[in-house]
Amino acid sequence: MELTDETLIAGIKRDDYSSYNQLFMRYYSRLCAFVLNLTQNYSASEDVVQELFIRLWIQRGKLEITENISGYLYKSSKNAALNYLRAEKSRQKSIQNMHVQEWHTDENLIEQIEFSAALNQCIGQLPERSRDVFMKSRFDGLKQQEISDQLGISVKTIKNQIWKSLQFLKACLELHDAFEH
Amino acid sequence: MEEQFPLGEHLVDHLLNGDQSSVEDHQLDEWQKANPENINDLGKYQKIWKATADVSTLKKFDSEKAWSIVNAVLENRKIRSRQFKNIALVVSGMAATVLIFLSLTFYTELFSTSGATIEMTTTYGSRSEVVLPDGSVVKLNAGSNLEYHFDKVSQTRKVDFSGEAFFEVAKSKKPFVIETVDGLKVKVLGTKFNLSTYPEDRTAQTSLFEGKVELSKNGSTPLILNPGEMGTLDKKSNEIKYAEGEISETTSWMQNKLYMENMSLQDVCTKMERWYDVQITLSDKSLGEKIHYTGVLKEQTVLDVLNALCQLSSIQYELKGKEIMISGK
Repeated sequence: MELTDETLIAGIKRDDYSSYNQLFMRYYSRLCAFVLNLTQNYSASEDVVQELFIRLWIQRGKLEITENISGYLYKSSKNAALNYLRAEKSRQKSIQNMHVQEWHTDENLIEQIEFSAALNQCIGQLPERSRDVFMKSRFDGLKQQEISDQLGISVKTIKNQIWKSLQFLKACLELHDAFEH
Repeated sequence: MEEQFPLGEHLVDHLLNGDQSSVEDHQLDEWQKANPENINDLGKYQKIWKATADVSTLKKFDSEKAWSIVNAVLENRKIRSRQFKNIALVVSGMAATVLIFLSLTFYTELFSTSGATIEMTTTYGSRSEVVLPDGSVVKLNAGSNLEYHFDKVSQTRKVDFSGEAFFEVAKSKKPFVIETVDGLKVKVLGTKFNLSTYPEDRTAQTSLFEGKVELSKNGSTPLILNPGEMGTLDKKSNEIKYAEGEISETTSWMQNKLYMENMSLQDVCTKMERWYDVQITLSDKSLGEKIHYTGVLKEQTVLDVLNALCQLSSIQYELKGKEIMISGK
């Protein structure tokens, strides 16, 4: 049973640490991926998002969120990332041009990340064998012949597996309303 | 709509070729023209295909590792503020029922993977809350003892426990296993439940609020609890089984409430001894099993509870310091 973001935030306000833990697990990597687009730096992105979450817990008593939770988290991470960039700018002048970005241009990016997060969940639900082939062809950048050699199955079978995975993923994402936007 | 494979092969080829797909594919074109819905579907497949690249970026961020860092930072802050609170409580000389933080050893470097042992004890008359290095929160009732350590070899979060507590176990792939003095094993992955296992009680009881737990003991069949269910270990027969009852009542101690469902005076006295750190003697032993109560008591002091019990039944009490003598009227 998946709790809504709103329920988790209400829990956090009541000092419920496990709600906090769940919200963290739900959003951490998405926010990092989002911040990475601004900072272009993996470890800085992690620092920014971790600090954001630490502040969220410490200031939970004063927390007031009027918009939707995910929008709030993305916006806060953007502000935190910009602060980081401003501090960094005094040391490194090369990123001067980066900080002027309008919020609305981020919306495509957020949509893209949210879609990937849903996709990631659906990939996790694929049967193991199909997932294996799909990951190898998409993530590891292997050519079909290489996968065929590695797994000892024909190229035709690989294509068939990818096709099945695609159909499964499409159905799964439709179920999550991920194509809506 | 389930597509046949020959078309699938064309589609996969189209996606694999990516931007260089200037190659004419009549079959795919035909399919697209056949139904506007198909164009829409092709768009979806392309979107999935493109987004998988971002999924690999997401996978580069390790949420579990990050959580242990965040948790350790918060834990260190908490310990510091707790220490101030304790001093304040002692100075203001509040009643014994006030939750007091008692003993916490090894509170430096509380990373979830460190092998350090954390020990918490609550004496009778006190309660406490502890956050374990993995982020789990445990609210301890009076007279409880908890020892936590992370076992590196089995990659397991291990807890030795006696007494009563409400556990909110942080989600993690590393199993969280509680072993009680009665030999009961509670295995969980991420969940909320109440565990009552005082050595002097006849049974050990677990009630589950969220998630899933497995109860086991050497020599008995394991029992799996789902949310809303309660399981007990009968220490005499070594039998683990489901129990009847309202799970919310098992955590009433956290609100200072005592739910009594046909509870004997003897059992009420045992609870009061733990909660208020008093010694209760019954003038006549048979009295303890003769009188039973049903209802909820929400009283602040031991005297409030005693007065309420006197009104409910024909008993009276005498108080001498921490010793209480109960007799029939």
